[in-house]
Amino acid sequence: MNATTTQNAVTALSMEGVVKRYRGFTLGPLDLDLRAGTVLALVGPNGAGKTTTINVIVGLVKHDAGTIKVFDRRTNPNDATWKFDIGYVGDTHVFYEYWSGRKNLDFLRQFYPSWSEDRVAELAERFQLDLKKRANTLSKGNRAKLALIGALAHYPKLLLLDEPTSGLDPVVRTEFLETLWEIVEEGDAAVLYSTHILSDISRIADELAFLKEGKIVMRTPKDDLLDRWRHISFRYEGELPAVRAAASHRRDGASHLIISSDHEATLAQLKDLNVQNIQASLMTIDEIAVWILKGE
Amino acid sequence: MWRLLKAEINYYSILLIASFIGLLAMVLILNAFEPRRGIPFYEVDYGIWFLLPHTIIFYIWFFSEMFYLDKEEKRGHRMKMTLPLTRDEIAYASTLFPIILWFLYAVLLLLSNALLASGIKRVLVKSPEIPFNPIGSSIILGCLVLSLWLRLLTEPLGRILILGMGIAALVSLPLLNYLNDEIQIYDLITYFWQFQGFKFIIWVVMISTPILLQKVFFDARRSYIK
Repeated sequence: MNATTTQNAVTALSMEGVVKRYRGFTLGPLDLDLRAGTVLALVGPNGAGKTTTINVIVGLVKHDAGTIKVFDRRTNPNDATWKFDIGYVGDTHVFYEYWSGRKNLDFLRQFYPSWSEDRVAELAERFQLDLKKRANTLSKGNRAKLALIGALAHYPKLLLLDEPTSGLDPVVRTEFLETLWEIVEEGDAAVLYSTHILSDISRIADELAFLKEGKIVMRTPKDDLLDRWRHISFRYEGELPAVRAAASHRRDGASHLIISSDHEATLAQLKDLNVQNIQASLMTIDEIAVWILKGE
Repeated sequence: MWRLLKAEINYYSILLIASFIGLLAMVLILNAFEPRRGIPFYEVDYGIWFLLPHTIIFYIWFFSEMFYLDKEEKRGHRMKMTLPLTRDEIAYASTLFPIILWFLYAVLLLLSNALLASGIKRVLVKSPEIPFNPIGSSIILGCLVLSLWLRLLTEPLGRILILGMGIAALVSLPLLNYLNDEIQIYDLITYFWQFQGFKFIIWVVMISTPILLQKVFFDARRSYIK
């Protein structure tokens, strides 16, 4: 997405000091904002609080403290107008099972003034989804597509996607995501996408927020992360001082393998130490995520 | 709120229609056994032995419907909560729906009592004087309750409830008959029965329950919106 559009000045979502307490788990205090037109990946292991974060935004659970605003309107259970701007797809796709996809969409249409039947037709065409089929006869992939059509047909300005590809096989997942990203790239909606599979979203995400045990441990532009992190291997016989920005350091005799969160700082230090055979290689976004969530 | 309620009624009406069709089919079958006498549809017999266990089961169903949502229902509830409706609108829609079902169920019960009590008595027992037969009662119970509980079959609690209701239906009437022999409670009940008081009280309580407890049910439903 184009992160430099003029819309970016508008805050699509803002969370300040949001706390949700469960027995044995507390989400937050969470401060998070999302500008219009940007895609933020909320990354974390199972149980980190990704779903809870999205649930408090969409109104599925009540938060215990803090404020949430969607396009400057406070989320208020007694005034549902702020939900007009939201499109939501969760990890389970709920429909009236004995109704066709068409009838399920007709039901949703009643609630959104900006609903577009042309949009429904266009999306069904792109996803190659037969809307005449009953919901309970649809495959998991097609259920996900139907849920997405329902979420996009009213042109939401904020799209909340909570692991929508959960349970899909790799082929269907790839197909689903490719179409989804095409649609997202064409539009100007802000997207909050929660996942523990970063490669799903690495193509499109502008920023990444890492969630661990209910707290955001890091938020960074995706490109910065890819630029900074490296596998670095080298040989060094003597006693090595602590290496700068090393997320991990393994040694086998004179051979060293380091995972660096800032390869420029690490390489500069290694050069000062006159180490030999330095080799740096790129890391995938999933590898980086693992180290961030393990390390901090 | 009405849009949501309309959709709910529209969606689940198939279950109610199926119950009615099943019920009428049974009546017609029973009619076929004894074409000479037939079963007058207007012959209402609010037999206490029929009414009591069904009323209890009614309550079990209704209260569990209000206070317990199975996994699918919770998911359905989640979908509704993402709609641009206020929390109260969602809670009211999901409270009103079981209340409507309650009244439809009451009508079904009255009908089934009227149609089948006399029919089964004549066909199976051959004596209109004998109190209602528990087997017939259980058949009706199965038709009505299972149709509405079918979606709970995959849930452990649903299975337990269905099993419990079946056992309750089968056991309650012979047990009452046994107790009647032992402690003569039948005399006490027939005393009320003759004056229509007992039946009247049961129906008044049944019909007024959802109205009187509407606030409690509403709050229970609302609490799912955490």
